[in-house]
Amino acid sequence: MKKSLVLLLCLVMVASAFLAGCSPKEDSTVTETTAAGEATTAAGEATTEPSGTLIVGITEASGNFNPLYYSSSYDGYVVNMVFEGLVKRNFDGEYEGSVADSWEYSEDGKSITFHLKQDQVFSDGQPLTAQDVVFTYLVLADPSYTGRYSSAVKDMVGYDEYYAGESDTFGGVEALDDYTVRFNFKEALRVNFENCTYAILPQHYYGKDFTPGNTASVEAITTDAMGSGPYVISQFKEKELVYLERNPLYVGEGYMIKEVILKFVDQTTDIVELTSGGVDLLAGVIDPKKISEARNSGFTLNQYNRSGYGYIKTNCEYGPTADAKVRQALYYAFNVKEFVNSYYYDADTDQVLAVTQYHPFSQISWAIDDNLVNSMIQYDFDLDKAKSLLDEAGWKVGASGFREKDGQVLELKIAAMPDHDILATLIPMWERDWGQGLNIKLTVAYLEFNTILDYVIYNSDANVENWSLFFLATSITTPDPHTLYTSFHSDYIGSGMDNTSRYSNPEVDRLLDEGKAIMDIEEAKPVYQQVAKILNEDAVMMPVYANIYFDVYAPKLVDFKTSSLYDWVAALKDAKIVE
Amino acid sequence: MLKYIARRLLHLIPVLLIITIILFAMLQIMPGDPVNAYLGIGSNATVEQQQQIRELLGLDEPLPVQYFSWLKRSLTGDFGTSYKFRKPVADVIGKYIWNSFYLNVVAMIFAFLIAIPVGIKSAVKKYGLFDNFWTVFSLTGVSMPSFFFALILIFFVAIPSKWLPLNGMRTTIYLAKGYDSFGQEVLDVLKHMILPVTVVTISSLASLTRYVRNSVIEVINQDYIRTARSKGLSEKVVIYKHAFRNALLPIVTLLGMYIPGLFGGSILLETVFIWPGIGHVLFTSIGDRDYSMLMAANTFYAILMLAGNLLADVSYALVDPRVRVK
Repeated sequence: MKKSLVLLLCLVMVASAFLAGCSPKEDSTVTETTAAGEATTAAGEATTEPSGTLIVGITEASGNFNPLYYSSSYDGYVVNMVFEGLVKRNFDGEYEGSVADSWEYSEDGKSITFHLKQDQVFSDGQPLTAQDVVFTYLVLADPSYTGRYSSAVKDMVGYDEYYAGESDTFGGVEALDDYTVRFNFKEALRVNFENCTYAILPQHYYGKDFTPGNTASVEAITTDAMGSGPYVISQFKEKELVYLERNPLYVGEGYMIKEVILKFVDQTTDIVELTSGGVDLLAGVIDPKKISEARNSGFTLNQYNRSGYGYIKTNCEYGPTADAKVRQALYYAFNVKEFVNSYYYDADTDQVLAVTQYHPFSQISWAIDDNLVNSMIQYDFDLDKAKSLLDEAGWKVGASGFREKDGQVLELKIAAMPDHDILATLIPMWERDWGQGLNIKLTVAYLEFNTILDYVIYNSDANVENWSLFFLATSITTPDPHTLYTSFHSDYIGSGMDNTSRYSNPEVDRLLDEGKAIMDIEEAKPVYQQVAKILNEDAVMMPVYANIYFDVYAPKLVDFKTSSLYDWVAALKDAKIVE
Repeated sequence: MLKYIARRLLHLIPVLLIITIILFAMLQIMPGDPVNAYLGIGSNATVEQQQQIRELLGLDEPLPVQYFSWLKRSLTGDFGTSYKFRKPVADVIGKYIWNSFYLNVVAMIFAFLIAIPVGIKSAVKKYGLFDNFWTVFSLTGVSMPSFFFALILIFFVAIPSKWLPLNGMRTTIYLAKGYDSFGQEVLDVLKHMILPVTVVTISSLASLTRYVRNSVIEVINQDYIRTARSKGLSEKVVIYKHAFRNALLPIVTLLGMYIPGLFGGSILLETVFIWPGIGHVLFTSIGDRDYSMLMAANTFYAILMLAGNLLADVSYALVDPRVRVK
């Protein structure tokens, strides 16, 4: 009896020792004084000094703020605040100088030369030079690089040789002098430019122990990020927050908010945190209930089209969906409008917070115009048409009650995710219209996200017979329709590659190859519109919804303008806090 | 006694090895690919680049080679690098696990402090009003999903109170700028603990109360209690001196079994309260196919579970002379 009491007491003591032992350590790393916080109100009237604190609610960041290695978009927010690339997009989605102030193409169009601004420093005061740009891209091209951004360098001159270890030098990015850097590409492509925009790392900090062939020391710097951007990381607390302060050495314009705290919030209670004052800003909200709650509580709303959409893709290589007629029939019997109008209906404003589209572009792509929209087949719900298409394809209702052809039942294997709101709404609709309406046998396999990716991307060659269709959503970070290349070019069919619907069409391949080399977007536009037309006719993909994003924030945040390609981080440039 | 412990410890080694082999095999059976899961969808890495990364991570080696190199490294204290966090696994786990531990240990202390007197009183006045109340209370507590209870507390207690924090472990502004004193930090953390501790306590209270109650009832029906009563001892002495000591035996065992649970995190609870614990980290590691994280964490829990069992047996021997004699 006494001994068990001792045990319990020991446990309590051990527990309190840990409480006591761990906390002061964390305390000692914090040396901020509260005086800075009090000064903000006084500074509010001052004209040029950054002031005020903004608390942004985001989904948890993992703490990997290394621009070459991070993979979550929440870590990406911090990366974009701390680092800068040569150029960046403005509010209208066009590129403008950032680290570079001008650039020009070579005669043959294969090289791009950037001229760097000369007064820029990293947050430790060291100057940013062309050598830092070369270093950044050298890491990306290194054979030991294990991050996800290697596609940036794969089209550059000398990459293949360097990566294979056949060459000691990488000629893709060269420093012509301290403030001039040239990118050399294998071919003159319009899309090369986007590969020059990656965040620039200080060589003296990340490259201290770097030798070609060994990137481990670069990769090891995760949380203690240092760049030339407008903010520096002052605190990162796992699972709790990131605290950033205005970089006093930042020479660019704007960024008049002194402190930005990214607080990690949960989707179930984030709106309550906003309305109770725990956070000042929630970005990219889509739930109509949350939006109306914020509106009714006096918060300000920015709304813009999501650059991306949710879609259904079908297996174009194996099974009944390999036949375009079957795909068209499914499209006609899929009431996309019914889904969008009910799922995204906001009763408060009597608005539908999403649109239906039939082309494969992001809503903000420059490939879209009236001409394109009008040329698309609108697959309006038409069960009779769907039935006759299936009849034409040879699938007739048989003795089993299902459609059959050559003794085979028409069966769709749907790879779905469990606990997924949208799929939970779509599947009963499909059972009603495809199952009962068209007499198709539906088999729904509930698979976790990574397993679906295993089926359709990672191990797609081995799993080609396991699925007929799947639902996923995509975000597209560029207005350039070249993103279709990896999704629909037949070179990208296979394990580990992105042509998930396994669609192969020589005409589409030809157009995509032609399109990526056209420098002028007005000339490239009709080529991509032709691709869209073919994909639409062939019903390779059914875009389901393209929704509207809302940024909701406290009225004290002013001059805060966001758009599809200009997220809240970019918008901090002009934003101010007015208490 | 020492010999007994030593023998038990030796037995643990093969058990642990078998557990790690099974764990390793299970991770391999999972569909999905750690390289691609790490790179993330839309990385556009070419197939050659993916293959090169696979080689760098040692994932192209035959499975037995992978297992033994893992074992060798683990024995030297190197549990590998987390694919997702890109930091040593021990650092990642170490950072989160104590937060779960604080929460659980406080909740466990409360649960035992409440369950023992309540259990005894319920046993003494079996089927009385007090007993019935706690029966209903326990059943409600054990039946209600903890995340649901957590949401109820947030919406109906924390929000109206305007004083209790909705979630988190520390106040945002202190977290960013630091506390003025250690005392202030302790108070702040304790304030944030109120809601999650309430939820954990109530959900573990249910089974614990029933356990104590039934154990006391069993003891009260023994002959030696009747003897004690017939000797004319007061009811207080009979219950608290004779009955309770004996009823304590199964409870001590229970304590041993609770130890691994102290370090375990609750996924849903930690998500709803945004408590920076280990549960959610491990859950997302599964989705991310973070093999080194999963191997290290699961092995750690296996060791804790085995140690908890051992501790229960040993402490049982300590409090019960009959076991010791054997």
